[in-house]
Order: sequence, then C-alpha cells, then structure tokens
Amino acid sequence: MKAAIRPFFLSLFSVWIFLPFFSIIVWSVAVGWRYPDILPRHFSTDGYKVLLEPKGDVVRGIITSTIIALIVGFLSTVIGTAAGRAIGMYNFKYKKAFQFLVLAPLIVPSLAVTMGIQVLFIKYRLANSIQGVILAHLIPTIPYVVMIMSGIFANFDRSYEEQGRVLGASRFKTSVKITLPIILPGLAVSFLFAFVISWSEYILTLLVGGGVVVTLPMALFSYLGGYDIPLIGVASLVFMIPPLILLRFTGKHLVGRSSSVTGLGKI
Amino acid sequence: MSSGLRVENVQKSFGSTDVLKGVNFEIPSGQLVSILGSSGCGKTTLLRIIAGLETSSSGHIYFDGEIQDDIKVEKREIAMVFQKALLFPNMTIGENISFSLRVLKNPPKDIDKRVDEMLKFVKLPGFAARRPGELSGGQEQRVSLARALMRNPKFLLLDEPLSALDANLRVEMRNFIREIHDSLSMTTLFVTHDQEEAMAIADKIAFMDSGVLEQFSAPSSFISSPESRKVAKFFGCLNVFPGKLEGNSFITNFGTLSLGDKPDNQGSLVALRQEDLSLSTTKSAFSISATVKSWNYVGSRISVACEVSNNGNGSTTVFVETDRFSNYAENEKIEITYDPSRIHVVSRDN
Repeated sequence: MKAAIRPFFLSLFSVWIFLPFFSIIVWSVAVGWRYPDILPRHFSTDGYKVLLEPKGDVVRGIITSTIIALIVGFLSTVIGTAAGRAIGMYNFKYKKAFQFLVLAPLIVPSLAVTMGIQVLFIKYRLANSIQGVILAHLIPTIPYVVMIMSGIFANFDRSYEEQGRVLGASRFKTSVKITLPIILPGLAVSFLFAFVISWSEYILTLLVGGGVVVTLPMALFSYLGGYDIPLIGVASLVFMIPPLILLRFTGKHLVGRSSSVTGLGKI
Repeated sequence: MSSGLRVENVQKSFGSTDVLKGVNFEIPSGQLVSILGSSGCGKTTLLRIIAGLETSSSGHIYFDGEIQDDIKVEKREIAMVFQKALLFPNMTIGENISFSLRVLKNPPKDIDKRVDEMLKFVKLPGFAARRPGELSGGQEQRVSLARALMRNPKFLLLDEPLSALDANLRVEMRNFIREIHDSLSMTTLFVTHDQEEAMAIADKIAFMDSGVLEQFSAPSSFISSPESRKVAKFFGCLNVFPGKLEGNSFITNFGTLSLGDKPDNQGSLVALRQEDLSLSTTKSAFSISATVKSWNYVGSRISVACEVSNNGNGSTTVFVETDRFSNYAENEKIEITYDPSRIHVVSRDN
C-alpha cells in the first residue's frame, strides 16, 4: 500500500515543481497564446534571436550578473567564514551584540539600508559602478554565510588542528589539508547562497548601479515593462540556469548526506 | 648536555587561577614516564606546554638540553596522541598515517611501503584504504598511535589515550603501548588519571595535585614510601596518622610504633598500608591491641575496621586487609600485627 502511494505523491510533487518551467519554455517560443487555447497558435524563435544578439541587454546582463555574482559569492564566503569561525568557535566580549549586528541585514529590509548608504556610495564614488553594486550585494549575502559557517564551526573540533600541528604541519598546511576539506561542504553551500542572492538581486542593483550597471534582473524588468512575452520567457530560462548548475554541484551538501552540514547547523 | 626531557620551574596561570605552580623534573631519554593526577591537577596543561600547544607563564622546557620555548609546535621533535583518536575524516587510514610525511618539504618516495609496514606494526594490516568511520574505538586509537609513530618522534606525548576505551581494551592497549615504547628508542610521556594504568606501564610516575608535582619516583615507591599525605591517600593507603618521630620509633595518639631502622627522612605523619598489617590473637612486640568494629569486601579480600584506644582519650580507626577466609565477630578483642620495616614516615603533611 505504502509502496504504491509513494510514487504517486512523488510524481504529483514533480509536476508541481516542473509545470511552471514547462509554461516558461512554451512562453519563450509562443506568439499569441490566449485563453482558451491549450497551445499557442504560432511559434517563433525571435526571443532566442534577441538573446543571442551580441550587444543586446540579455547578453550584457548575463555577463555582468555572472561577474558580480561570482565576486560577491567569493567575497562573502571569505568574510562570512572568518566571522562564522569567530562566532562558532570562540567566546569573546559582546559576542551576542556582534552576532546581532552581523545578522541585522536579514531583519532590516535591504531597501531601507541601501537608501541610507546611497549617500555614502555617492560620496565615495561607488555609485553607478560595478564595485559599488558588489559592495551593496554583500549586505544581504554575508549574514547567510555567517549563519551557515558559524554552524559548521560550532561542530568543528579544534583538536583536529592541534593534531595536525603536533604531527609537524604548519598553521598554513593545517588549514589547507585539514580544516579546509572538513568545512568544504559549508563553503560550497555558502557560495551557492551568496551567488543566488546576488544573481537575483534587483533593488540594490537599481539603487546603487543607477541604471548604468545592467544585470540580468535589470534587463528582465525592462522587458516586463515592454510586455515582450517571448523575451521574458527566454530571459527567465537563462536566469534559472546558473543557480541550477551550482545546485547540481553543491546540492549534496544541503541534504543529510554530508556529515559536516546538518541542516543549517546550530546557531 | 643531558639527553632527555627537562621541565624547569614551569608555571602557568589562566587569569587568576594558577594551573601549574612551578613544576620541575627530568626524564632520561628512553624512559616511559606517566604523569598521574585527578582531573584539574594540571597534567594535561603540562603536556600541552611540552608539546608547544600552550605557552608557560614562566619556566622552560628542554629537549636533549636544548631550550624549546621559542620553537613552534610543528618544529618540535614530538608526536602527540589525544584522548580522541582525531582521525582526519577527509583522509583514508593510510593517508592519515602518512600525514606527517606528506607535510614534509621533501616527502619520501616510499610512503605506501612505510604505511603498510606501520599498519603491520600496529596489527592492522591491509587497513590503508579504509575510512576513519569504519573502525572500532580501539582500532582508531591504534591508527592514531601509528600516525604519531610515523613521525619518528624523540618524544611521544600521550594525553589520556585510553580513557575513551572500555576496560578490557584499555589493559590490552596499555600493554601494547609499553611494547611499542620498548621496541623503539624514544622517550614517552603518558598522561593518565588512572593509578593502575600508570603503575602498570610507567618506569616512573610524576604525580601531580593542584598544579604541584607531589612525587616523582618509581611506581613501587608510591606504595611503600609516599612522600605526602595526598600521595598516600591517592594510592589507597587508609592508615595515615599524625605523631612524632623519636629515634627509631614513632609516637602516635594510640601508642608507639617501632620502625626497625631509623628513617632517613623527617616527618610528622606515619603511613601503614592496610595490606601490610595482619590480625592475630597473640600479643607481640610489634602489635597493637584493638577491637573489631566492622568489615566489608574489597574485591576478593576483606577490609576490617579496628578501633584502637588513644590511651583513654578517644579512639583511632585502623584498617586491616585480610583474606576472605578470616572470621571475626563484632567487638572481638584482637591484636594488629605490623612489620617495623614496612612502616613509612611521610615527609609532608599536605
């Protein structure tokens, strides 16, 4: 009985997940798809032609978004790992306050934060630049990395590092050969989170980039305004690809198979 | 310069707590010494200072006459095994064992061969490809030991390596450690809180209490000639009494004990081990009159609590251990017989 029900729910679940994808795929090639038609009357690949235009917004958006998200992913993983180690492994004065400060951007809407710091960005000539956008994207990404990594480090036994040292490994070699491999799943998940958050960030990019820095979400929004549905479909598909690729490589660390990441760990 | 390990006036404080209050001792190379003491006595801190994982507040550590204070952990000629096996989870057993070789500037070419030999040496042949999670506790600790030995250390530091194992395995492993120590030329320091363990494997025991080295001597001395009240108590001597040394006799509240020869040391305490006393019905020159109060089993033997009168001024309880076939009635009058040569004057009353 149970064995028969399981595949049924599994297929229902799959439909629930994949049906929206299907409609996006159809939208990307449809010309005039109206109620009560089950399928569009005409098909066209115009959307894909626009996508491939070398100087089009989509191609530019993909390049800009990829560069920004990769750098944001890297920076927030590095910074968040350091903070996560401090929170997860050590006790220090005002630790609770520090923890709260780090996590504050998750509580305060990033829009409110950005409105406030925009003045500073202009003052330091960071407004309307990729550097500025990267900096702004670190605001919502670092807290997630800190959350993940403090959990990882809370479960990390520091004795492993001492064991490395008493076997003749320097501090650096101990970090590279012992600590890094043990926390690697956490780093992968952190990078994935930061990348995806940066990749889909719109408001912060708009405010700090001032329309000069055109990321993929920026391009998408401009198509939404123009009501060019096939183009939205195409851009949406493209939009989903990088996070899916990342998920393919880091996904195994999100579920229980990895011994060092148990959910999001304890915090 | 002398070869071996020298600990010179090592002190350590964490905040306002003094963990080590000036520890001194010297171990000739090739010996196996156990640092013994109950938890919190500073024994692990001392070992960590010797390893370089902790810095002393003052004092020095010498390896073969060379001062180690400014030498980094990884540069010291040591290898350390902790209570937990701490096998690196990202490596196979073989990779774990060869770790110390692989972090060298010029790793040797014959790593695989050496790993195989080492695995045979610790009686785990063919385990190289396994992962840490697939081993039992005893096997893991043997791998941890093998990994330490692979470094070919001059000083092997063991921090309660057997505490996490069950009782039978502990006995097996401690004999194994002694065997390994004897077959390799190194100096071994073995930290433990288990008196039996220390007695069984060490050439010498450094007994510590509250950051002070109470006694540093051969295991048998801790039984026959404890230097302080704490040592006598820790090693299970039930009869420690105050009194005064006069020539070759010791005057206690309950009477005068003959000491045989005049002792070399001074002291206001006397220790009589309960195993060294016996009960008899006949009075002799070396006996004390007593009354049987109670008895109970201690392992396979019987501990008899006897009451000795303090010359009309209260009484003192003296414990005597006898074999289990003895039969005594409560309030029975009896003579506690002692051997003068086995009475020990304790130097320090702490």
